[in-house]
Amino acid sequence: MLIDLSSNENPNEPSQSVIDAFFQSAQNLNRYVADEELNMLKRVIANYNHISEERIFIGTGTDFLIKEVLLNFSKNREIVTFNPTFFYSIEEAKYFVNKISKIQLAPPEYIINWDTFKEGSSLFILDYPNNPTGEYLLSKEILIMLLENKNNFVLIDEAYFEYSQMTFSDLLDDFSNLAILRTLDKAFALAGLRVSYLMAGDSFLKRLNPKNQLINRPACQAAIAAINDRRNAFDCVKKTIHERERLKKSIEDLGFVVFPSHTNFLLVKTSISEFALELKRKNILISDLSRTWFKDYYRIAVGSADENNKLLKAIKEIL
Amino acid sequence: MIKKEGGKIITIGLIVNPIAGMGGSVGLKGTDGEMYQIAVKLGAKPVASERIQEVLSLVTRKDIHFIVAKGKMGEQYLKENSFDYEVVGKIGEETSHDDTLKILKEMKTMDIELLIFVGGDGTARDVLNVVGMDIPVIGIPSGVKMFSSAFTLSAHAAAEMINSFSNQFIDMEVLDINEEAFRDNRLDAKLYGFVRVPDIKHLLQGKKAPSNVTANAIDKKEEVANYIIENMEVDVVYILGPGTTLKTIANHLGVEKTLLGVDAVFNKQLINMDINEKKILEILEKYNKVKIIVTPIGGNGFIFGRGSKQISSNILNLVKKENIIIVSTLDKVGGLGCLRVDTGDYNVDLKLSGSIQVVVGYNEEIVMEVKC
Repeated sequence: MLIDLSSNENPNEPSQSVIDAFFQSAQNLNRYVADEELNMLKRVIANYNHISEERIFIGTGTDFLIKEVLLNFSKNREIVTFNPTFFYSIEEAKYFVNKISKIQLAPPEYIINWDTFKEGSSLFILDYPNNPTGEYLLSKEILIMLLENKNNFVLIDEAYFEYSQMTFSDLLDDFSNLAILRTLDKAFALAGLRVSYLMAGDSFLKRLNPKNQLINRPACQAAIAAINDRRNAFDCVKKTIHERERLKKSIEDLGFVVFPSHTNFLLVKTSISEFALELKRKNILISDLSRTWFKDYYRIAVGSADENNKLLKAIKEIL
Repeated sequence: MIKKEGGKIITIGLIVNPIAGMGGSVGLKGTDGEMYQIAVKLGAKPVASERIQEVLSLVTRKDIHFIVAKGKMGEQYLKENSFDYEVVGKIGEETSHDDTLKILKEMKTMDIELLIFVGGDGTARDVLNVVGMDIPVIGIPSGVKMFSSAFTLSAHAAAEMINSFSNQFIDMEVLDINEEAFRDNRLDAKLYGFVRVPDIKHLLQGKKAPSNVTANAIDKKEEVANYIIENMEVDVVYILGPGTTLKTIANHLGVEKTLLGVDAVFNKQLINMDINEKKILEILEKYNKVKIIVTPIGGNGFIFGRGSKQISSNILNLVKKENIIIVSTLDKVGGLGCLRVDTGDYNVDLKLSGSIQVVVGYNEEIVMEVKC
């Protein structure tokens, strides 16, 4: 059996209530999604985040929403993100944006010279906490500095919010040029359905076309059920965090450098040559950053307790 | 030759420099020229044979026909495994650099699809001289000097390249250092050229790989070239440094370019080829606006001071930082914490340090720090 720890997925399957909602939604697939269904999803999300329903904008996956933002806000702007980045849609924008600037993340300190970006007019697309470092690379002070330049737009991806419990959403009412991106791919265990949403400041809302909130009925209904049953999701998050810390300590004990993480994955450093390839031979997939980013660095998603035990066993065999 | 039913046989050349790496254990920093004899006298043991045996033990595909050098230059390692092979060339009791060259030339005429070589930077240079970029190579490091980025990281990686051989390649540098200077603790690395290596990074990615691995390095170079050319200004001289990224720019402009030299382009026409410091200074005097385009050296990230000595501190003193354009592919700079300069003039180094943008695609740049 293949154990896939390469994509930061949730090892737990959705709860029964989510699966029931998914199947029930199949009964009238001949009909388009009604506004009321979409509004229900928005209401549930707004309620969950203690935020006004008007600020919510739904999309089919994070990359879809990034594309939507790029289409509306990238003209005559420089796109600023991190390297490496896992936002595929940014790459596609290169033929119509002014420029794409990726800030090289150099471990272990990740020193970023933000002053370089003080002036000008940019669209920042930054993740918090960051993938693949697992760290917070942005502070509130820096974010406010970027937002105070009204020519800037800032999109913060908080895909791992349920694991980190850190958010900038309290700035949304003060800064119209801020939007926060969330997904149900991770903590809500719906990666296969691709449901993401924006919590957007006023300047974002002014341009985003509500008609583009395209989502299919099974995804919409399953998402509503998943957020309503969030107690279950949070229990899974707790288990993952517990497993993350256990895995971190166990891997450290095997002589690896393991970096602190606020997410559902770990960034590790090892001098074992071709570590990812060795694990692949043992049917375990992890993310190999050693060729695309820094040598000796790998990203491992936290799996179930059983998967993590198998991973630890495999690492011991390799050593 | 074994023919598998319906399958295609892949022909692979294999050459081992049996003395590579022997200087290391006895502290000689290389076995080029006469140093080998000294190494043997000091009791050096061969290391190359272990390396190749490890790689061969990990090769799982059976559809390979090896073209191999005689005895300890290749044949002996295949004998011990069950591979299909034929032998080319003759060698004596002691092997030398001339044997390597002779055998490589013979292999080149035999339609090999891939060449595996075991050795250090010296061997890599021999391969470069004979094979160049015509045939993809896998360099298995066993030398003392292994500065070339062309070498694979491990036996496992080499075996994976063989097992999954496809048509995706990446250009890698062949560097060598002056052994005498190295023995003197001075590092004087020189870029000799480029070879093509199978690109396996795509094999190791999960469903959600970083966005930069989706395009291959050759396509990215084309993108960089298109972007640079579209943004070339009129009446500005562009000094093009060495490297394949710069060569791709020249190709797209339709002008000739030396792979390792420095050349100058004005209004999309070549004005000078393979120029030295003096000539570049003349250009700076004659033309109002001059921009320099260079690419970092893989592995260490030097943009000035190593590799292209022609663009000296005197020149960099006269050119503003904003008129220096850095181009690269992401696979080369993505693993670097910073870029480096070592021009010999500290003030020039200081001027170049700080944030700089590296063009890595169309409209796509990486922000990096330059350190000195």
